[in-house]
Amino acid sequence: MTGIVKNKKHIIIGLAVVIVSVLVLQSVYTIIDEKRPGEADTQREYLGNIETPVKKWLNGHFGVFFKFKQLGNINWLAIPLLIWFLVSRRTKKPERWQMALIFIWLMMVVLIGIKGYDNVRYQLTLFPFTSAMVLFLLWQLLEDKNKILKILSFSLVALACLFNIYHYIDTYKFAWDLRVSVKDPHFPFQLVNFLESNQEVNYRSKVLTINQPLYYYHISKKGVDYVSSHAIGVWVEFKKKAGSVADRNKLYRFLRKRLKVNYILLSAFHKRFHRSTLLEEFLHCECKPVLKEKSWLLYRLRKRPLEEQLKSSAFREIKVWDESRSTVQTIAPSLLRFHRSGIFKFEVGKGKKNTIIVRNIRIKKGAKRRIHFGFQFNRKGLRVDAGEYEGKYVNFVVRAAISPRLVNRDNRISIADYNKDGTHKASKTYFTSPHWRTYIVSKKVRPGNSRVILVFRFCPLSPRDRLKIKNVKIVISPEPL
Amino acid sequence: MIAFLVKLALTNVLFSLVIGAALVRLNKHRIGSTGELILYSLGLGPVLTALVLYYLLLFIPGQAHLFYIIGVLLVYGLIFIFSIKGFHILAVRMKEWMKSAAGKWKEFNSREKFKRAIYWGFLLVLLGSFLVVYVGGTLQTPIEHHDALIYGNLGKMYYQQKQVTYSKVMKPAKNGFYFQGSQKPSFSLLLTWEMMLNNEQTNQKPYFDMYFRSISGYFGLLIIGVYFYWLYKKNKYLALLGLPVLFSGYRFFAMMVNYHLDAYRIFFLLVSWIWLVYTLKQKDNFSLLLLGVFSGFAAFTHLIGLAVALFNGLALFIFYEGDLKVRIFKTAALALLIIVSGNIHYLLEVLFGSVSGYISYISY
Repeated sequence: MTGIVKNKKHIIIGLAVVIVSVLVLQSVYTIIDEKRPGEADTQREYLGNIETPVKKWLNGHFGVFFKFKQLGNINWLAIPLLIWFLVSRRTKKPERWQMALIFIWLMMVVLIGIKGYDNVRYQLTLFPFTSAMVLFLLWQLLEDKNKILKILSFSLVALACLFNIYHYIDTYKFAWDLRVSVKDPHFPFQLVNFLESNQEVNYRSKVLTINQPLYYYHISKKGVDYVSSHAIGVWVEFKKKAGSVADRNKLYRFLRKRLKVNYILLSAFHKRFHRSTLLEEFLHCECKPVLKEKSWLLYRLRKRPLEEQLKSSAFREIKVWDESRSTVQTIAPSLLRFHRSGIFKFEVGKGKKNTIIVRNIRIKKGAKRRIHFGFQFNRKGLRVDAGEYEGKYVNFVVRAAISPRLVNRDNRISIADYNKDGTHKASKTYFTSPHWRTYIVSKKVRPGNSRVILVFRFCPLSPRDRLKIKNVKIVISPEPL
Repeated sequence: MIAFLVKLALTNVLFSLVIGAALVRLNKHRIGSTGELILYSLGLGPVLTALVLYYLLLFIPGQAHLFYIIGVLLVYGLIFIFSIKGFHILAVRMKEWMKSAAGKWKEFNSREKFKRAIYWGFLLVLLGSFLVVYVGGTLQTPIEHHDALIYGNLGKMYYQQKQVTYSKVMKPAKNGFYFQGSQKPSFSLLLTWEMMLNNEQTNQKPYFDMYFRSISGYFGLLIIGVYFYWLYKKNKYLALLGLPVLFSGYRFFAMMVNYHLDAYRIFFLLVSWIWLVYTLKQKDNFSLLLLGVFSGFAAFTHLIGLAVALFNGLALFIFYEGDLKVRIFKTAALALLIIVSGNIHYLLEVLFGSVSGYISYISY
């Protein structure tokens, strides 16, 4: 009779443990798997997957226990099992070596929880030890229990582990393709080959490397590291807020003349976290992209600074923007609205005469807010001789700032030329920063085209979103800007 | 590929076995099993090679590469002389073990034999598949990971400069490489060693660093080996469960197939804790020696290892059973062992500064 009662008690406790575990797992998965539409503000948040306060605790400070994606889903069991081990009357008083291990483990948990919480590699340090501790303590907990209970409990542990692998199977598949089957190795073979074999990369035309040890490891040529004593001044300037044309020119000359730098090598990752700095503006204005492979970006410095190039006789500017005026119609008289879904308002910024602000003010329920606006040759007063620009390049040089959450592939600037049959070819660039940036789009105009348009595509998510533009230039040139 | 296998066999197998045999000879009280000792020793060959190279480049810089190779071989030659008796003991114990295993096997009924054959066969298939996939796939790709490249560049720098320097003035390397961080020399020196073993032409080729690249996979397997060994002591099925537990952490899987030092550093700190337990339980000098050696190597590899070495010292002082004098003596001995096994790097950095910047990480 007592045996049956005891068994019932065990079954109830076991079920309760399973239910609590499933609830804990479910709630943790919900939180740590949450994807925020906004982007992580800092590199730390991005790498550590800790962009919200709760994720910062679960994936960060307590990541050793709850970072399921990276470190499995059983480590948290160490907390209740260790408490049981220390307070249960069933276990003997812990021995010295056991206390020593618990002491070191706790010290490491605290150290990593405080100092290394944003780096999964540091959290990984304790993973083998913690997971082994869970298995040993669970074994001890069930030592005097019957075989079926043991098998059942460890089967549940196995099931939890397999579920975790299944839950994040895409991550495993990705790593498998990248590093094991090597279907898509993450190595820039083309870039390395280009830099190694290109005669133009030499001691008089060096590469400024922005945190790119890859260059020094795989390429036998000399480079200039961005934080080395020679170049640190450049990096300090790059990290400042995007400055004036004079700032860009100063940096251009320093790189070109003093450091003999002609190329800049960085990764998209570094560029992403320098959207608000001069670096991005410099890359947009004073450099041209040469190669993009995987996440690596190689830029070449322009032969002359942008402003100098624009003023040269080979470039002809078609005036579409009058900074001295104060209304939308007078600042950009040729501005056209091509397509739109919703009502959009164009207004001049308060106290900023030469800035036009675009926003959506009304939309039908369920419809997507969207507007295409810009310029079309030979329409609304924009007189351009068709014969003159065929075979040449049309360049759209624009200063723009867009609401942060609209830095995506829906919003862009493009140039398109249409054939008579209505087909078209376009060059485009996406807004990359919520701050004021210069964007340049170049397009070779094909002969026999019926029309050329230069377009802003703006898709706000709410009436609060804005697109601000100023200093718009259209330049015809024999080569792309 | 042949050059890689030779370097692997020399550094990871032969050197490790020489150390293992020396330890077997030293282990008079038979702390832990012989197999266990050999398992831990398999990690010692590479790291001791790095340490010897470190001392040679520090104290006798600027010599020909051959000098350093001979220097390392000489050190292992001396250890080998000491370990000849150890090899003899090892052979005797292996014979005994094989005899007893064969006897046990005979006693098993056919069902038990079948179960065991399936169990070990499954593990062998797993290991074999991993090795085939790892060597055939993963190891064929060049290093692209940022941190591993930093360590690699430092290794190349040691190779080119033929010295380990400490200086308050940080200068870029000849090729312009410059990094401010807290990288420890141990992992990088494995590449230096590999490049020294290569001929000059090989060092221009894409596979010049295959041995360096194999370190994460090799030490990943050793971690699994240690994990498996200890769980197996409780129950063989618990040991088997350990595998999905480890791989349910994506990062562990990534650690095995990425070129990094994580497996390398985690192995040493993990084993240092095992020797801490032996030291506290057995109170013998052999365990203390290995606690010091593994703690020192953990520190020689990574900054977290330094923290572990400090905590190990603290734990020994607090939890060692004995009067204050004994505890102070043992802790001081441990500290000395840790310093000799690589912690000297930190002392020199504090005293003379570091070419790569001591804990002065620049946020980029």
